[in-house]
Amino acid sequence: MLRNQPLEYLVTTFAIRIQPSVQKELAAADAAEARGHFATSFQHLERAHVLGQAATTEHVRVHWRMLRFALRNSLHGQACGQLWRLPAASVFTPLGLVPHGNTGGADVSGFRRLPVPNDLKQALDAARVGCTPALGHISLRKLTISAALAALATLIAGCVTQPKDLDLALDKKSASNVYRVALVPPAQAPAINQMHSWKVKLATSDGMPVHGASFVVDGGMPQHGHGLPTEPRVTRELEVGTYALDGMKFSMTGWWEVKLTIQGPQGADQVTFNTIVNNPAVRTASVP
Amino acid sequence: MNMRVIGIAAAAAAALAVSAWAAEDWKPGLLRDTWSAQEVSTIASMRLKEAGQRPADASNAYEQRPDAAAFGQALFNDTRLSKNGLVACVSCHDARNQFEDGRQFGKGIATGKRRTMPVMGASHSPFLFWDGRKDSAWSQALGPFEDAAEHGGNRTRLVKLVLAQYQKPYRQVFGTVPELGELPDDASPNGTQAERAAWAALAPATRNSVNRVFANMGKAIAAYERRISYGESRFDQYAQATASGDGPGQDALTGQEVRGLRLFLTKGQCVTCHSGPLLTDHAFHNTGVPPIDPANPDRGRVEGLKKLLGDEFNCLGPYSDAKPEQCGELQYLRADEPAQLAAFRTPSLRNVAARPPYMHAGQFATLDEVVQHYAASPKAVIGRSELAQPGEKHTHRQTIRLSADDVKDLTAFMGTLTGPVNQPR
Repeated sequence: MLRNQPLEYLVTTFAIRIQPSVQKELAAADAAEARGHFATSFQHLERAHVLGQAATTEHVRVHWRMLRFALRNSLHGQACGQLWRLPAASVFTPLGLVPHGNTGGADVSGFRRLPVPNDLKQALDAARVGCTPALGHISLRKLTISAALAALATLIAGCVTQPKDLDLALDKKSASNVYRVALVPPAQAPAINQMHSWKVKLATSDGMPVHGASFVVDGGMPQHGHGLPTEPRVTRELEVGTYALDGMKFSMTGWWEVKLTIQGPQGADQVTFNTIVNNPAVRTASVP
Repeated sequence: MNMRVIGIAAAAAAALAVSAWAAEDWKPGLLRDTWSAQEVSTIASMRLKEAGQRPADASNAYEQRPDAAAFGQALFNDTRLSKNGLVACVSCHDARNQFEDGRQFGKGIATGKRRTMPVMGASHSPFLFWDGRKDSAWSQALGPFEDAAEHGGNRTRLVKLVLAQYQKPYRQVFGTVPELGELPDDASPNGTQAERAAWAALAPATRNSVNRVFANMGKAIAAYERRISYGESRFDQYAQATASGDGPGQDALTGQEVRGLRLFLTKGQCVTCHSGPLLTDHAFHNTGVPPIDPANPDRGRVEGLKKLLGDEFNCLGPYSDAKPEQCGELQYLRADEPAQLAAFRTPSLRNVAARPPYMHAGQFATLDEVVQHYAASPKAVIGRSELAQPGEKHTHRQTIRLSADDVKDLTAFMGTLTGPVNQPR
């Protein structure tokens, strides 16, 4: 009965997107420690903390790794520091109460905000694209549920369910605000596995249609770890600022990302759209 | 410190109770088995009826015609279309046995290297064969005729035989019978050295006419195969009941089978690839299935892609009836992915329990072994397995962890996917 429902409250788009970056730092920490570079190893754990601290699962995981590192290397002060940070991370992260940029080790105060290195900032910004701020309008019930299950989250195996804060806007600013981009889906929802076309409307940030841009199309299903089944392309400009995106196909229902890398007169930029592919016949019939 | 720990534990316990109540809240009440809205939607999307009308194949202008289907059925069953006069399509695609042969490797003139695939569902798939080297049912049907291990035929011999034996139906379906003049008995672009030389010696117009007749054989066979389809299974009854809120209808599946379905949708991760009404994403994946000969492993989709793009009988080729813009699968083909090394087509799971052995080379004798394979998720011998190996931190996938009971439940669930095979009499 507890299966699935609570996870939906826990897993945010950010958490799914940041996970690979955190994982990379943790792997680098392992590699450094294996070579005997303990200081470098802990630096990687700190970087993992900066990246992952806004996502409960990642945050708890990083502190757990720091605790194990401390125990392996007989760092008693560090181990004590990690002991209280672990439960604190599991309770306070879902509330959005984390010190931004904090490196997570016992050598700095657990409440202090710190500047974020540039490369990590980029990774964080990329993961935040298309997310609504963490603390918007979260009901008390959601808070209680997520806090209680935070610690359990890492234990529950299975599929990641759709994040609740998914930004489904199909008209938005590109990542660095260079363009305003809109995706126009086909008038009739295509069937699963049916090849179809979308339109892309490209404008400057103040709304002037942009002529002569080129696009690279990418995307996939973040929860299933696969890309798009086809290689869609922007094939032509239908009218000034409106482009045909052909060769689109979704092989299953659920959350898909469509990413456009835009090259135009105003420069290069990118944008990520989220879309939920439903089974049209089912949508009205089944949901109570 | 102690007080803090106790406090947190108490808060957690209280919140657990609250969330249990919240989850209870969700229950629609009438159903025997409860599912989240998202799960209901997924289960509903797996109903066979969601497959709808088989999509028309623009590259085959004859596939809807009953006379083409009747002609195709005759060709499908004709053993004269083989080197030794004993092999027909039906030899491996047995109409009484799921349109396949139950063998580890297909056996025609000689023994092949891969497991025979069933005919049902073929017209729904954008790519055919385990490596997807064909992009239509008609083009697929041509391959085995010239394969030395299957029919062992060659193009001119086959075409001469068909025009001699089936002149009337050929004329009825395709209009005119081409004047081919004197043709060598044995010539083919794919045969022995002598056959290839004889083929090269033919005038281009003659080769073109022979190819046209050969392609039409495939189009007639595809018209017949299109009429062979999966029928509804117990799972479809259950899915319909679940989607429409019919509690008693859920009795179509036992508790164990429902547990299997739950695992299928969650920690078994089966639905990642086995999705939709035919329980396949029609795509290609490397899941670390052990090759038969590790020293010389099957390269799968990587080789299939090369063959597909070089195939004169593909959707963009001169024998296709489609306009180039109707060949979206080829135009927007994802051809450069390293993940395609040793990747194989996701087979449909419809009627799966009725057709062991499993995998592209019949590696596993039972469904139990198949599920065990995913539970173990071994490293790939060639290429890279998409599955997270146990202990591995995969960026996108979680490791599949299944207990012995889970394996049994999943196998039980797959047994519910068996329905009748619909075919013309």
